[in-house]
Amino acid sequence: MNKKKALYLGIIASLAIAFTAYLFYKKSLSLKSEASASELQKALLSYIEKEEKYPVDLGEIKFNNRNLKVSYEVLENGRGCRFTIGSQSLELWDEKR
Amino acid sequence: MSDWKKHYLKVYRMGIVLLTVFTIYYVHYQKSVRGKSPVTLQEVKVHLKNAAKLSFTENGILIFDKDGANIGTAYSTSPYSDKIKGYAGPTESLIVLSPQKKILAVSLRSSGDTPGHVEDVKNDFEFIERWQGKGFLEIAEIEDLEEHEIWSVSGATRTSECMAWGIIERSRAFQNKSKPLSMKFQWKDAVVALVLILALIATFTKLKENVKWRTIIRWAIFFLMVLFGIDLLCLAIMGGWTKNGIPIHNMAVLAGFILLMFAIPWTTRKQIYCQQICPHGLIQETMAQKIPSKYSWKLSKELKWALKFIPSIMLFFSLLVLLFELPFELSDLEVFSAWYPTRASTVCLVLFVTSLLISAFIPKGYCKYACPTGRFLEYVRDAGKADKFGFADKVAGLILVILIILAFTANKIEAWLV
Repeated sequence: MNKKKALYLGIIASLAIAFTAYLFYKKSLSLKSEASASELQKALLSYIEKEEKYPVDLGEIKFNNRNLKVSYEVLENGRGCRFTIGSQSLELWDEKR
Repeated sequence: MSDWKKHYLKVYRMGIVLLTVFTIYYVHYQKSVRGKSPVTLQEVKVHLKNAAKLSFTENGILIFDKDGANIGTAYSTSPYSDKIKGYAGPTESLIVLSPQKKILAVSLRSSGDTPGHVEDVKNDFEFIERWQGKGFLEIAEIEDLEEHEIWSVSGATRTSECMAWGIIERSRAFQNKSKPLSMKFQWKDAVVALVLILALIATFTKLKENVKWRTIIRWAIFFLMVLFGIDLLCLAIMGGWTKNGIPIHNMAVLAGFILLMFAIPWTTRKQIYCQQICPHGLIQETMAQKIPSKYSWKLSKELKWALKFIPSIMLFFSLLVLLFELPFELSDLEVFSAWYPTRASTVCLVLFVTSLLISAFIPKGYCKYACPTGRFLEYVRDAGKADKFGFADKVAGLILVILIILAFTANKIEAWLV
């Protein structure tokens, strides 16, 4: 194989490998988000059941966030809450809403 | 080459294809046997906010509030709905009922169909809300969706109908009224059959030697395919069927057509699909004839050599997407969806326009350097006496071995990704 052939094939293969790696990274993020969101939701539900209120922040909740950015806010004067973790976003509301 | 060697090569190639299909199918079958994720309280809470506890019983998932009162029942349509397939696979839904067995809500849990179509169904609130208030026991009697004001989602007809029939099938199963799936034929099947007959005439009769008639037949096929929106042979459909099985009850004619597109080149050396049926090939061919050759780009030998690897690399990439369910739509790897713009994504439309622009300067550039489906068909084609066990066969064998290893380690790799 001459140098030019190797160069062209190398470029094509590198692009394919980079894109595949990017998709695996995205898949990994999505799996991590799902797992973390599920854990957070369970932890929140047990907190709400015990304390009968939504936590002000997530400092009181223990769960593995897998180094993902988590945003959390209490909605409508404590009648619900919303959290976003990776690609997952969820709202919880109390039953009187 | 002696006869036995020739047959050995054909069997080897078909063996590679069948084992690849089996490996992908097996991995997904194992996943389905292990069971889909059980219905969770959080899922039910989305529809029934008072839900505090679920109890899994033979009569469904009983829903209780925090005082222990039964406030409803939930059902997952799987496994009863698994035999009903949409475009590329089954769809699993969640049904939440009131204590009076009225449907409070339905939602789509998972689907083997293209993610774009699945999102269309999830976001079509009108389709979802049509179910609310219907009697769960009564829907078992539905034979015609439209008669009961359940209209499929535009652009995701097969996925939404698959979801609807899955919900109905769950009701039938609950009442022991399940029916074996009957073969369903649509008027489009007649068009597929007509396309096949025309293509066979253009390939195997004396008409193939008559340029004028051959051209008329090709354009007739082109208009039939495009005007009637016939599904083109593509990775998205082959991938879906590989993962979930062929939806023989509602796509028998199309399935037969696609199988013939492989069987004919394998047995007769005639590449019937690319040469007679593919609309993208015809447009590129026409452009090559109309645009003067002085505008053609002269690619170096080395570049041509390297570019020819692209379709094979795309095929391997598709196998990884299927095996690991990577977040990528296989329909975006090819141009074929763009022949029906309402079904196509932006990526696909861009690819379509680009491929035609490039084909203006590189005759049949897309077919030669970017069509994985064409490469797949070419691989199984019997190339006659000159055919021998070559580089492509070694690579195909190696890919199969890699795929089998990945299939056995897929769970560990996915666990590592989390």
